Amino acid sequence: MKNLIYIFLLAAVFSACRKDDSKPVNGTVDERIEASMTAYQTQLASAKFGWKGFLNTGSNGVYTFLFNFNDKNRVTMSADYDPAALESSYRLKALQQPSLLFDTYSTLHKLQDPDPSKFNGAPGAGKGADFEFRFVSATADTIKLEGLFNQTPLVLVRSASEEENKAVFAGITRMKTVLSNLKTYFKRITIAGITYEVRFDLPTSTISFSSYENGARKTVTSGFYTDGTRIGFFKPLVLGNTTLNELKDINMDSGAGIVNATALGTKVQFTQAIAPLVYDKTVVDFFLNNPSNLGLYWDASDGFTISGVQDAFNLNGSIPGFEGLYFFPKLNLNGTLTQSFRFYSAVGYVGHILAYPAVKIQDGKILFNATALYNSVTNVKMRTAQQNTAIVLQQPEGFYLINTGLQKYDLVNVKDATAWLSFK
Amino acid sequence: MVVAILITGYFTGCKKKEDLSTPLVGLGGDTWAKGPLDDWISTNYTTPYNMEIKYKWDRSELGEINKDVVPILESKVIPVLETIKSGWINPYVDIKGGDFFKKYVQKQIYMVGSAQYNSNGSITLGVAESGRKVTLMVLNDFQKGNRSSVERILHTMHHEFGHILNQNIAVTSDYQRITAGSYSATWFNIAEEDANSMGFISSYAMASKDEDFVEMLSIMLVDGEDNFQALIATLEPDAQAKLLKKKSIVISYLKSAFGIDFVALQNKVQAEINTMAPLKK
Repeated sequence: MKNLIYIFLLAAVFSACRKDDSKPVNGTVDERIEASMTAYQTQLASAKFGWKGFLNTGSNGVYTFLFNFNDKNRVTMSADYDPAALESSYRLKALQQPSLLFDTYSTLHKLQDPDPSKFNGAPGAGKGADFEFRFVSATADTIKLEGLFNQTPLVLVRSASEEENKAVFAGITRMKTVLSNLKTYFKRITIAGITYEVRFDLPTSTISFSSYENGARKTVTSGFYTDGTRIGFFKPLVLGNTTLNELKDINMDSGAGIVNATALGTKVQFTQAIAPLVYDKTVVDFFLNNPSNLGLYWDASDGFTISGVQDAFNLNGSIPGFEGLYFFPKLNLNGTLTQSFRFYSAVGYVGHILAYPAVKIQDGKILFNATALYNSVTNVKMRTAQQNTAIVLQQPEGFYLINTGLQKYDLVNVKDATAWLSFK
Repeated sequence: MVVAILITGYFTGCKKKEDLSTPLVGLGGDTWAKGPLDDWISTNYTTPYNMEIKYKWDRSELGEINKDVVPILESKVIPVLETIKSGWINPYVDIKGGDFFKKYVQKQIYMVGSAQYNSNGSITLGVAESGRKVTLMVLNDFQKGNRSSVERILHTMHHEFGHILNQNIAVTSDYQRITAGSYSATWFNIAEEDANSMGFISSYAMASKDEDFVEMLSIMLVDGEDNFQALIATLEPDAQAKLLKKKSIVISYLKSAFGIDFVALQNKVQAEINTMAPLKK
């Protein structure tokens, strides 16, 4: 027994000391991080004409920049909202990942300034942007980054020439003009044999594509940026079996209401449409029974958009302190349930349009027998704005109700889909 | 025999020779290409006073890393540092000498562009940590030559330096007995005038005996004797007596603990402020 113990002990003595001198083939973690940071640094500074930068803050929209990095931790920057080129500092640092920090105040930081007097951001929050970014991916000409604080995506695209730099900010205005050539509420595009309903939101630079599979609506959405005649998607749009990263060569067609583009090397067209691809007839019922504000009314804060012109009847300019056009779907009028559009300003109620007798639902569409009772309003400008609103509501073809998001509904005229109200 | 093998085995068997010459990658903290601004800081702060001035963004330097705060504008760095040098460093160095200052000075200043917005609706303008580091905020709004800008920065520096002095040699305990019952954790709900009428020089002075002491010291230095007298004149006799007693303890403390002539120091600070940001007549 004792011998056995000695044998074990001896075995332990001779086997205990195993030296392991192996090193990672690719170098240590530190060495690899250092190498990747050097590579990013070299890439950033190597762009002769600098980089075009596109930052997506989400609800506060997309901002466009020109960056010129040198190898001395200096960067020259201009932006669509502040085109004067200014110099500040940057550095690369290994935080949890290789990261790019804009480490002294610059044009970019204005977006994130917590002081509302600086760039009209929210107090203590700014516009939800970033100035510290981690590297997500890099190809020779495109670097994708993501903010560390608000997770805003930043895409850097290598600029090819001085001319391209000069054109980048003007390109945004041009793109908005081109896209606003599509004046109807409903827009379509056909890619790889499938027709999609397209929706743009220009203030937030968002695009969404909806298609129907066995009657079920499928929607993909992404923020987009304008780079010359191209729009790039911050989040690639997965459409059936294809993935769309960008649309190129976006131009107005000579025909009215058509915009040409190239998707994955194929010519495609955005076209106007006066009806939805598939209309959900159940929406109207829910809309009438579940007003979101206090359970009483829906709020269309801007009045009618007509052919892409927001607040076409200028409610904001005609009604002093205008606060909203509210739709009350369940108004008890002398014992009869009816509906009313009521105009509100800072001082309160300033006129209404009554649907009397109650609205008619026809094939899921809503028809207002709008009996305008705005005659009590004596101010001429105010009355004209209300009259114009009433005239559209009186269209005998009625309106589609489109659910655009949680407690968000658009009322779109059936006649030609050029007039709509957005309720929330 | 076996035992002998075991013993030698234990003592000789496991001799590992480690290679300690491998360089560590990324050691040495942040690096960047130094520019004229870095040279200025090195010449005016780091070399003479062994202070680190950090103006480049580093979120980890902030006490609360989840707040939206932005870095300083480079063009504000030197004006702020010049103001601090004139109105805070120079008076102490002139009166007590460089060695005294180097011994007690907080070693790091972190400069930030905006304020920090807090969830209780207040904003933070500066933070000091245990006599080692001072974080100065809202520096993007700093205007050289603007009296209130200059006074605000200097007030912070004198306030924090007061803490260091007090932590090294504590003020006599008769100081805290003057307004013993009035200290309050909710000092921020008390208006300045109300604090004054209770015998405090500011509402923040009500936070604790230590804050009281350094507020007294820093406000008297930065606002000057005339303003102090003007404040006293508006108060009831009881509050007057309390503030005057606090003042006399501050003066005797500086003299006995550090051999500093308070009036001379105050005059120096005032002279510097008046040169940098003359009062508009």
